[in-house]
Amino acid sequence: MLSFFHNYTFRVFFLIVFALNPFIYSQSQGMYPVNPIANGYFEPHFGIRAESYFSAEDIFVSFGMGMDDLGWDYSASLNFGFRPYFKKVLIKEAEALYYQFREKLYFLSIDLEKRFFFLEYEGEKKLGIYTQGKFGYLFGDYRGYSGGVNSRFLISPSAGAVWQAKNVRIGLGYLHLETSDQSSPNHIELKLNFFLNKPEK
Amino acid sequence: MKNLIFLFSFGVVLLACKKNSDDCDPNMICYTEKPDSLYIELRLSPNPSGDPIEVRFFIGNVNDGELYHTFFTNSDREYFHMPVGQKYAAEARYKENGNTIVAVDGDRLEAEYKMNCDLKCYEWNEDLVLDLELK
Repeated sequence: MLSFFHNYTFRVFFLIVFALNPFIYSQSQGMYPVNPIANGYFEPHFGIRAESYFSAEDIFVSFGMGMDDLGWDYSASLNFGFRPYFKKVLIKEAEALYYQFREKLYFLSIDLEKRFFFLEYEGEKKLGIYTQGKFGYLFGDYRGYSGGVNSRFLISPSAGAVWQAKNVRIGLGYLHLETSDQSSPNHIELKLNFFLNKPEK
Repeated sequence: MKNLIFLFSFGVVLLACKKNSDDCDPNMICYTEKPDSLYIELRLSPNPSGDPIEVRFFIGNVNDGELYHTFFTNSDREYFHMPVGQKYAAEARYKENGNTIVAVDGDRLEAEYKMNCDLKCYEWNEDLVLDLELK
C-alpha cells in the first residue's frame, strides 16, 4: 500500500503542481529552500475549502470553512462531508444471514491541519507537506430501513503534499477513514482551499 | 480585487444552478392534475440458488412499516401501483451457498413536477425504482 502511494499519489500530485506552475522547473525564477519549523507569526485569514476523499470503492465530497493562519501555517475548520450516492453495503446480521442495504454516510468534522513548507518561489508560492486530523461524527442512513447505521465519533488522520500560492492551497495525500468493517480505510485525499481576506501587497 | 472576482464567479455558478422559474414553452404537453398513484418498480437479480425469490413489500420501512404483500418471483422486474405521498420499502431474500442475503431498499413516492409558464406540470410516467439487485 505504501509503495502504491509513494509511486502513484505523489506522481499525480507533482504532475498537478507542475502543470499549474511551469515556472517550477526553472531555477532562474528563484526557488529556494525555507526552514519549515522556523519561528512564525500570527496571520489569520478566513478560508473556505472543498475536498474529496476517495478509494477504489468509495467517494466522499466535503465542504468547509474556518481559519487559516498563513504565518504559523496551520488551519482549523468546520467541515461537512458526505457520500453523494447510496452505496450497497453487506452487513452480517446472524450466522448465514446478511443484509444488503443502500447506505449514505455523512461526516461532520473539525479539521486541524499543520503544514511544513520546504521550498518557496515567486515570493509567495510554497511547496511542502501537511499533516491533519479530522475529529468528527460519522452518521448516515439506509434506504427503506430506520436506524441501523453505526453512528460514532472518530478521528481520521491524514498526511500528504501541499502547494500554496497567494490565495489558494492544494493538498493531495493519504487519509485513514474507517467507514465500516467491510470497507478499506485507505483513501486518497484531494483538498482545495481559498483564503478570502488576504490584502493586496 | 481577486477576492471579489472569486466571489462573483462563485455567485454566477450558484445562479446558473438555480432553477429558472421564467422558463416557458407553450408547446410543451403539461399535465396540471397531480397524480394520486404512481408505479413503483422493483429491480431484482436472478437468485443464485435458482429458486424463486421471496419478495416482501412494505408501506413504510421494512423494520417498522406495514407488510403490504409477500410473493415469490423469478422475474427481474415487479411493479406496484401505489398512492403518492407515502414511504415504501421492499426486501428480496436471495439464497447463495447456504447463506441468505436480504436486499433492502425504500424511498418516498412523490409526484414530481416542473414549472412551465408558471404552471406545475406533473410527471405521470416517473416510477420510483427500488434497487434490490445484488451487488
